[in-house]
Amino acid sequence: MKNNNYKKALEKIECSEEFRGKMTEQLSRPAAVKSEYSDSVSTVERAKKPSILRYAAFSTAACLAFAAVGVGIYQNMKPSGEELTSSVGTTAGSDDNTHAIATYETTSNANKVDSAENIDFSRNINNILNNLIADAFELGDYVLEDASEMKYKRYTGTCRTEDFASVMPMFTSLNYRHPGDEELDALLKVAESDEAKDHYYEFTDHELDGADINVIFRKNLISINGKNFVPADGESEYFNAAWEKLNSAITTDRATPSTAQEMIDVTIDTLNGSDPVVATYWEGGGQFDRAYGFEFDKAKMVEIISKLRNVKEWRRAKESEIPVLGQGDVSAYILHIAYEDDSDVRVLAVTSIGINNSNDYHVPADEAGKAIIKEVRQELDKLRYTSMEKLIENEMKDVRVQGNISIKETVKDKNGVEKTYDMTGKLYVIGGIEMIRCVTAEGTVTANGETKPVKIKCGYDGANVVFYENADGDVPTDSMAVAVPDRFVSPRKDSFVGNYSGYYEEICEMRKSINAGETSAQIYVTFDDNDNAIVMMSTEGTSGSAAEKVIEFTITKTGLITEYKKTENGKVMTEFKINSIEAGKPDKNSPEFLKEIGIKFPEPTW
Amino acid sequence: MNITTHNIALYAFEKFGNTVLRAAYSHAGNMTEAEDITQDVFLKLHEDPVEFNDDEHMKAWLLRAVINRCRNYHKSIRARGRVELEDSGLYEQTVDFGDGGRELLEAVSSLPPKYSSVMHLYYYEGYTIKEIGQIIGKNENTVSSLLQRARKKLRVTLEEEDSYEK
Repeated sequence: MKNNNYKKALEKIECSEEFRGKMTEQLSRPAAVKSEYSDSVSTVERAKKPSILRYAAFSTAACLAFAAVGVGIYQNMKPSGEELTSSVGTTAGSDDNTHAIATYETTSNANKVDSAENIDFSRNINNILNNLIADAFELGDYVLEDASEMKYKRYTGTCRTEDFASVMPMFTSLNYRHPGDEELDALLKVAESDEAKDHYYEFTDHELDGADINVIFRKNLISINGKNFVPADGESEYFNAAWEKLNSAITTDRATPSTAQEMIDVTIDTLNGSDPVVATYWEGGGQFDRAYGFEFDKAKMVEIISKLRNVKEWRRAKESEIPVLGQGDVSAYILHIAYEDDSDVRVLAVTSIGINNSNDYHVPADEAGKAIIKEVRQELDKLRYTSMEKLIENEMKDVRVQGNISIKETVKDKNGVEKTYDMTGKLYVIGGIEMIRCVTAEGTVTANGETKPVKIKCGYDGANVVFYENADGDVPTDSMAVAVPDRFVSPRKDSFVGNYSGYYEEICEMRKSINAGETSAQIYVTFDDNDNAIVMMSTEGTSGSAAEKVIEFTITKTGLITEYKKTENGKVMTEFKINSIEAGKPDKNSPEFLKEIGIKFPEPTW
Repeated sequence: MNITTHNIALYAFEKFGNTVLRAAYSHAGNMTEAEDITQDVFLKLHEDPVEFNDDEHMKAWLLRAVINRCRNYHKSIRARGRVELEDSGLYEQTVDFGDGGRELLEAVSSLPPKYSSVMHLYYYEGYTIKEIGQIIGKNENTVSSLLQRARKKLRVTLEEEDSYEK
């Protein structure tokens, strides 16, 4: 598409004076009815202009890879029998047990965030949490059992994503971006630099759309020798060429490959041969890889894969991953193939790094291949933990108290009784979750010319501060006030009148599971008596059953993760706990994993 | 930084009215429907104010909102066969969209919403794949795939139009 033409044409579209006047008039009136509205974008940080130096920045790559792993709401985390009621859909002063809605912007003077303490808060902490979520749901399937031997034990869960590539640690090195055509020259120059020394491949299926499986084959940096890859326009032609080439290489004039090694040969010949299979750049910003697109017809894919391997065996296994030894500057591939049902075949990933030594995997037989895979696995391990450390160090420094907040709101209930609510508190943000810790909360009721104080509680739903009132000021009769489980209610609730500050919010959706439906998750953050942040994440199945996977961890105010617990379907899978730990010096008896994540962070300000 | 204003919706409209209108137009393909969608977005925000960190956050939110509404719009259009739109297009007849501009806009708006949205966010708003993923709630691979498919579909559409005209 001619970008400039589109922009120029669209810029002719403007609000007419009539429309602008009409809208201004409508928006200047008081809002009539508060209605449910669910659009949510937590934040979008505009990327800097692409810099090749960023390609090697692993932490950013990890952010990218794992940011793609979203989480959604897991409603089952609330205790049964407790009704969770948000402020949405309620109106101020609607009944005697008033819960008034006071949005920040509705009163210009009283409601404000103290700008003096308003720190430029980065929501990049989301990346850590997404990373850990990914760890819970995906990487958790691979547990390091023996670091010296690089042995992993694989746990197969029900919550695997369809995009194998995005959640595997080695793909955190898959910086990829989609540069515009005008950047090609600059990128080509990089091709000959040291920055291009590492590159990886993968197949990853995208949405199953109609009859095709869309498969991406990408390379994160331009090849060192450069000769095999020529950027070009005209994607479809290249896609077609790629398909034809791969198809013919595998199926034509060859005996059916009967061993993994034969398949390796075919794959290498095809994908890493002397001629380019396909080459094209995808536009975009931020990160880069060279992307190659393939669209596989399902029927053909079944046919091909059937020839490559024993299809019945795969069907029984549902999934199969085949390490494919690379050539030249490509260390190895893994072809990950799965059956969704009897007819659909998914090619999930091909990468250059071997990650698993399970007997279920068809490791190339020759010793050279094993040696390479082991070497790569070691690099992977190093990469993974380095990334975790860097990520957390980088992100945790931005966890801050955002500022003081004061809100004062006057409402009238249905009987015309005027009520004033006045609260002060501090606004915390961690992982994109905003929490208000109430410091003071006072209320008055004015009726028949007489004003009396009332005890109130206040909470925060991410957009509104919600006030609760009841007769005795103890436990509100309104179910809203008890909707959040006790552990998420401020531990200081007994120390001041306004005592309710727990809150959770949706982060984003988790991607689809392999089999069907949306798998969602929810994340909670709260603080304990020592101001440690307690983070809890969980998933749920599509049927709304109990949490499949739950991760809880505690971050001290000095940034150490001191407790970590992962459960699956109620069974504890991993649990770490450090009782005495010096900053930056994890207990020597702690597991390897915790050694890596229990690092010293820059001290948060709360 | 938090945006604090007495009327967030009015502020948003003054700041991003054209942005939302254009996004709506890129989906709807006509001014009448684009204005309706735009109006809906800002009135909803007016009824239910949202706290924004900054203008960029606000813009992203508005774009997400308009995309959501455009999806519903497309559904409703499919259901009613687009018959009501016959009287639309008056505005477009008075505007010079430049060489091929009108055809391009029509082609983009004729795409399914999932494609036109990524095309618009990418080519007009200049968001990156990552940012688009955040806005529309898809992972980057999916956005890349959508963008690729959108371009292919658009190319086919434009080529068909071109051959038809010849």
